[in-house]
Amino acid sequence: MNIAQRLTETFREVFNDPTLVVTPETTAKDVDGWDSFSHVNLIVAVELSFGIKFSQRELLTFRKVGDLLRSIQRNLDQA
Amino acid sequence: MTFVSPAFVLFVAITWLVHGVLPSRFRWAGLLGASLIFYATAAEPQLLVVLAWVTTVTYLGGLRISACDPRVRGRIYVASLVGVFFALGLKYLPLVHDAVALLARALGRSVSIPIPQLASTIGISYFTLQAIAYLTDVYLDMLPPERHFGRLALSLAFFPKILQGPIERGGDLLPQLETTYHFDYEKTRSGLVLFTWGLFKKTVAADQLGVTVDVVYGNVHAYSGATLLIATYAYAFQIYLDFAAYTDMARGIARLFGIELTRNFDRPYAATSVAEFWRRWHLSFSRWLLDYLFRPLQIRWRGWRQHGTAAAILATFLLSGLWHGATWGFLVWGALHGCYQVSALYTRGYFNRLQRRIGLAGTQGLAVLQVLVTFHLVAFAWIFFRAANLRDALHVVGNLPTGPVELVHRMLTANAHSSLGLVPGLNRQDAVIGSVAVVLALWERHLRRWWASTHSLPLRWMGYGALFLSIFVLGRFGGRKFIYFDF
Amino acid sequence: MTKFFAKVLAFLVLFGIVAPLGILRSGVLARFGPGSEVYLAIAKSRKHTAAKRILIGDSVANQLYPAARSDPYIYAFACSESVSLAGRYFMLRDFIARNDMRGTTVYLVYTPLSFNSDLQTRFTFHYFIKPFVTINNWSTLDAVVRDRVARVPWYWTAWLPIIKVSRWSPDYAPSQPPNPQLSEISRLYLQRIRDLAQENGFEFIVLAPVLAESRRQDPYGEMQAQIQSSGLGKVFSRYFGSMRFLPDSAFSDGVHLHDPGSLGPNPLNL
Repeated sequence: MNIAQRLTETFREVFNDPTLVVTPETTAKDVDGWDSFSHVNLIVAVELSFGIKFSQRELLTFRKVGDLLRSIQRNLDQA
Repeated sequence: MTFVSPAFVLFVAITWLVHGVLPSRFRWAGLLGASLIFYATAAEPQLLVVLAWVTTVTYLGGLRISACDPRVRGRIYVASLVGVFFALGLKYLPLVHDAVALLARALGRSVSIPIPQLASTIGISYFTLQAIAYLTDVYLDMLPPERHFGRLALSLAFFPKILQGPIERGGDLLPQLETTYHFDYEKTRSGLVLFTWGLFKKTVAADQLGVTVDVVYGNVHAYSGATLLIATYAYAFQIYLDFAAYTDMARGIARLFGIELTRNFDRPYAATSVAEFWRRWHLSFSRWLLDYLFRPLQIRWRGWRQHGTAAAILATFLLSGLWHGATWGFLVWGALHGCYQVSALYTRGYFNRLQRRIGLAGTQGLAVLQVLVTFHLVAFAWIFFRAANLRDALHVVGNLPTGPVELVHRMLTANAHSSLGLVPGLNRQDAVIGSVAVVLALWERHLRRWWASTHSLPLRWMGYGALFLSIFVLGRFGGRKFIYFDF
Repeated sequence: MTKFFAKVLAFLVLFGIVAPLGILRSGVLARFGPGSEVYLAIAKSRKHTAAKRILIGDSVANQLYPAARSDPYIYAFACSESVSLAGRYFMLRDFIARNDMRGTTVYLVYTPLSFNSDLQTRFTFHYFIKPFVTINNWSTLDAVVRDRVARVPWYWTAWLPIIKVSRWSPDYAPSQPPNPQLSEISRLYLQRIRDLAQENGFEFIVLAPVLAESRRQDPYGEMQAQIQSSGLGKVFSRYFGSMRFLPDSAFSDGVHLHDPGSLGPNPLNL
């Protein structure tokens, strides 16, 4: 499974929606229930799922799913 | 000079004319000069020094941060923040003074510390926050640093927003300062109308309410529960209309110069939860809190899951309270809002299930209930915001329960005269005028929609004329400053 | 852009001058606006009456003898102290022009602190400048009045129709001295009224209204010395003796009575 697929799985678990589809352009506004409270749950779930840890700086700059994907890739490459 | 004065009207007219006549490459200088003059007359001249300091630190910091390599960046960023915080801390000098004096007394010595007292620190809270936002955005590579010192200075000092915000983001304001100004009839007209509307909200609505609120909250022990209740409701509307009025006036003036400032309000009392209230109230400040305080804290404490978020909420709102002023009242207010949201966080799932179980979920009735509950939670917290001190606030809280009973009793044994004792300071005419104005101001959205569809010139002029005249004839003047000046 | 300027100008003329003039002419403001009691007093001062006892004074006097009441024996047109003795002099002069003053007694009922009024209060703009000072009579006013008026910032806006109908007044409220005394304006116009009384054959007497008990101990020495040195001893001969005191609880703010009606129609036995 590639990164994008694993990420979609994680999203589906966190937001309890098996039909959810995310693209690099998806933002918080596009997903039902993605607010500043569930955002943190999502981040933790992603970190656990990929075995990485985002830096504070990165997390503050995420604006859409594409940013998340790039950051995951970067973290995996560094590991 | 304040927004509500003939001096200000003259000032804006002259500035606008000069601005129009200047060649475009000097327009920023014209606006900056005017802004500095405005700030010097509205605040103590020493504050100009503070503004200059913050501007310089922000400008240099921004340039160095983006020029240096990652290891040094962080240090420069922190150093710049410290420089800005130093200015913000001036607001709390009296607190420092008291704390040091207390400590000295505890050590058995009486020390007279030459800590300079600033009679007013108006404006500091706003432009320092804006500076912090700018520095952080540059540090996170979300914004290129502004290389033009004058434009950066103008973005901090721009006179419509320097005293009470909105707190602008670099990404919103700086690009606008670079575009060339062209006279636009529609924008100029709408700016003037917006300013006038704001003036109406302040003088005819907010300040009428303010008369009663000031009388009652100035001497809470002299009034019964019913009066305290009415004054509390009145304050909830006064503070909203006062601040919304100021924002309208600021945005209206800015629009005359082709600049759009951020909206600060989105019908806050229509919120169905306290969390939503904060997405509708003082937006420029709430978003600042969200992006530069809450999110970083929440992310840092994400290991504790929900508890981390709860802690982030509490910390954010306590600091928000403190930003408004270093008193127990503001701290309690902040703590209340923090607790409201933390308990909502923990009980969210429970209430969702409950609503579904009793079939209320998604109904109109539930929404109405939520709006009423939220409004009352917020109005309750405002008591601590407004009362002169904690003791007064607790007195009000203690006497509120008798209010509704007394009101019902009065209504049942009603006669026209007894009702007015409940609204001290206002005669019957003013109470009616104020109430009508408040309702009109709250119906803004509908008024705006209806107005946009009215095209007949005589009708439009009658409307503007009525607005204009009502400000002068019905408006209450008398040196009442804006509430948010004090923060 | 010329279209814009033209429209703004037309709007300002229409709603800044024409409409306000209409509102003024309708007399609505004289009844509801700020300082409405002054306009009532001015209107009354320009009428004819058969009464031989005339009462002028401050707002406390107006409580005891309301200008709004019509009384065949005592013709009263008192109003707020902010009008100052200068305003009262102007009103009296208007009254004299329309009435035969022989055999008449004019009573000035004034609380001691009202004599401090020097046209320097928050209400001077509404109560004195707007009603009494116009572009036409500016040059005929005494130098001292012009000086006091000129100290109020933006005082000249009182001549703009839109300001005349407005509740707005400039932000100006210097402090007044705490002890009762005769201000420059009070002294000058008391002397003028005294002279008017001599010329027109009426008696002029200054009396005190009902005062709060706690004011009994106020220091009147300075005021008494000023009265003597200004040649006003005769008009003030009954003033200090006429002072009547009621307990503080009868007053809503230490000066104005809660229930003036309870004292009857002629509390000072004029």
